[in-house]
Amino acid sequence: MTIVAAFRAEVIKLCTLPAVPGTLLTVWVASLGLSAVPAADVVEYAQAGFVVLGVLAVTSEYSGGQVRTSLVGVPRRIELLTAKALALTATSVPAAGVVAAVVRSVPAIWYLTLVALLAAGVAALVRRTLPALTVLLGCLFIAVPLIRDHAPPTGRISAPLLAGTLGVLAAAVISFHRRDA
Amino acid sequence: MISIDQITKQRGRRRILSEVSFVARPGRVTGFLGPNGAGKSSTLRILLGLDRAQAGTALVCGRPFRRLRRPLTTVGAVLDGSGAHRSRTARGHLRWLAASNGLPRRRVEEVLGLVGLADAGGRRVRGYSLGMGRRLALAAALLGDPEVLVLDEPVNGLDPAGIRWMRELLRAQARAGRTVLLSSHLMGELAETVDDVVVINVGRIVARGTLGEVVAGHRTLEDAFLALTAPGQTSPGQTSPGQTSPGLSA
Amino acid sequence: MRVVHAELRKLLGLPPAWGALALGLVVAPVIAYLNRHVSSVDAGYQEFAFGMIGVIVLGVVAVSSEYRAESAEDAGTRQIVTSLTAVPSRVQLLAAKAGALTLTVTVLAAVTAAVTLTVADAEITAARVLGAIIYWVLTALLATGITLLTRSGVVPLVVLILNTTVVSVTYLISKVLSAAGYFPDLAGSRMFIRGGHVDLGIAPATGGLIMCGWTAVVVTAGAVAFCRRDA
Repeated sequence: MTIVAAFRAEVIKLCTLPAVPGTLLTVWVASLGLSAVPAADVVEYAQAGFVVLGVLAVTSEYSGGQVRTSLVGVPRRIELLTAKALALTATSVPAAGVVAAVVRSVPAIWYLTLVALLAAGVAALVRRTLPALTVLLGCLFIAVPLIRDHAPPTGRISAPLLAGTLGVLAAAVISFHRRDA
Repeated sequence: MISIDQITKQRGRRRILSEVSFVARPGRVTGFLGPNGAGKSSTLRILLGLDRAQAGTALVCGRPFRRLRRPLTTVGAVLDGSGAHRSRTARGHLRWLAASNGLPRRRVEEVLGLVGLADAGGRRVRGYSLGMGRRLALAAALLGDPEVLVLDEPVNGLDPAGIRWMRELLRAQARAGRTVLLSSHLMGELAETVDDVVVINVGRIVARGTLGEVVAGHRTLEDAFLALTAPGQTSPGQTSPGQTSPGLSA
Repeated sequence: MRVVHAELRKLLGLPPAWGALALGLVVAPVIAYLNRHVSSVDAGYQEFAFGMIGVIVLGVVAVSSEYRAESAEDAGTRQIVTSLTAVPSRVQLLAAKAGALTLTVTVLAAVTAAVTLTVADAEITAARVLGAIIYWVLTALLATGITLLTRSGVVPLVVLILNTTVVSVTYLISKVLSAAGYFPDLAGSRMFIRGGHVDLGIAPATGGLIMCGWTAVVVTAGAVAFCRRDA
């Protein structure tokens, strides 16, 4: 099955991108440190690392023209995107697991993985690292807390978050499928 | 075997390609010539499924590129730059590419040796010179030992030794029965390398045929090319194979 | 200096810069509007501090545009090579960039402060407003310095935006480690924030100086890194 091969390639890509282990290590160390501070919502801050992870997983394709190399190897775009999403999930879950262990909360794994996927979707639409990061960090760290202050309380994995992520991912798939590389 | 048939591409208001048709046959090196902006890269990108055409078909061994299983075993492509992420090592880059098509790991070392990058394989691509980047792109193209090679301005950035090495490699590939299609705007070099020529200007094919046929009546390929693509030249569009459109000075 | 003028035009010619300016203008007043029913001694000023995302992006963009790796294919096409052939002294180039950035942020901060403080019906004193503007300028320069040091906009964006959040990291740390009050953002906030729980007895002017010190160190380190590296 070609998607298995594509998946393996995407995992290798993620693991051999120097910024990825660096980001994850920083997240783990910071989470450990912040857990010593009472009233610090560790997952809230750890999500920044997963935003970076998701963004890098996608925007790294646009360095040096790598996306063209990827597409010649895996020309069916849905296949490539699916493989990427699966690889990102496969990397996020264990990474989030470490954070979840620090805070002793299993749902954190799903939340952080969701954030990584949302970030990847935004990055696929925007294609450039800094704008994608600005939008994501601005939304998650400024807009969302504000909305939470003025809106009825929901769990961390709220309906709007899920809907938003699905919407962004759908838009990203359509965009990637149709645009010139 | 590559066959391009009536490809038309529009971007907004601009007509980029108009009814572009030609073939590249196995066992021969086909040169795709045109001035900058004529549509060479656009055609190749459509062939490789990177861009979409509004009309026409582009087939590799009888199938559209996107329908190929394990495309790297059929087609190798050399496009802009190195095609690799700057923070990766050459080996790391080829590793994931090989994995994506289920190619054995040893191919990575084999192609690195083929292009002369065996010693530099562990270095990050950001430290590569322009020429080394092109060699890496060629190594990636050869990973699957494909029967078709598509190259967009392959000698761009290579020094004279590199240019000669590329030319000999491509001719050897053609002699072994492979189909080689390369685009360029460097006449002198191309004339040494190709068997067949396709000339494109302003999105239209203005000449097709063997090197001898296209050059006929001119001293060199360069003269023929300049005559065919002179400004003010009304491109008659399609010419039958073996014929060149009349060169004219306005 | 005509070099400052050139850098100003370069900065303002970037589409991301306009996005950043828009963010800078809009975020603080909007938050102030949402919070208008909350009255506190820091009303208006606190929201002004939250609106920093725009100037952080501006500070990053001023420098990272020279290094853009995503669109440039090979070394020769990066803007920095062009910049350096036009102004061979790297120090001069950086100084001009800092000048252009300072000018832009000062104007932006003044306008946004006026709007935000009005919306929040805040107590307006010259000293506090000046402090708030300086805070924005120093933050933008800090962003530039970190970008130069790390050669990437990712680190300053993450670190600094995380700190402008409604609950900032350094603020939380300061509850455990009171020395954290000497971090640039907390110390600098003493210039215009009167309430808040960080009370190390840092006077406004002292806070401003501490933040200046931090900024100078980071920017200098970044400049040294920039000047010593290959382009």
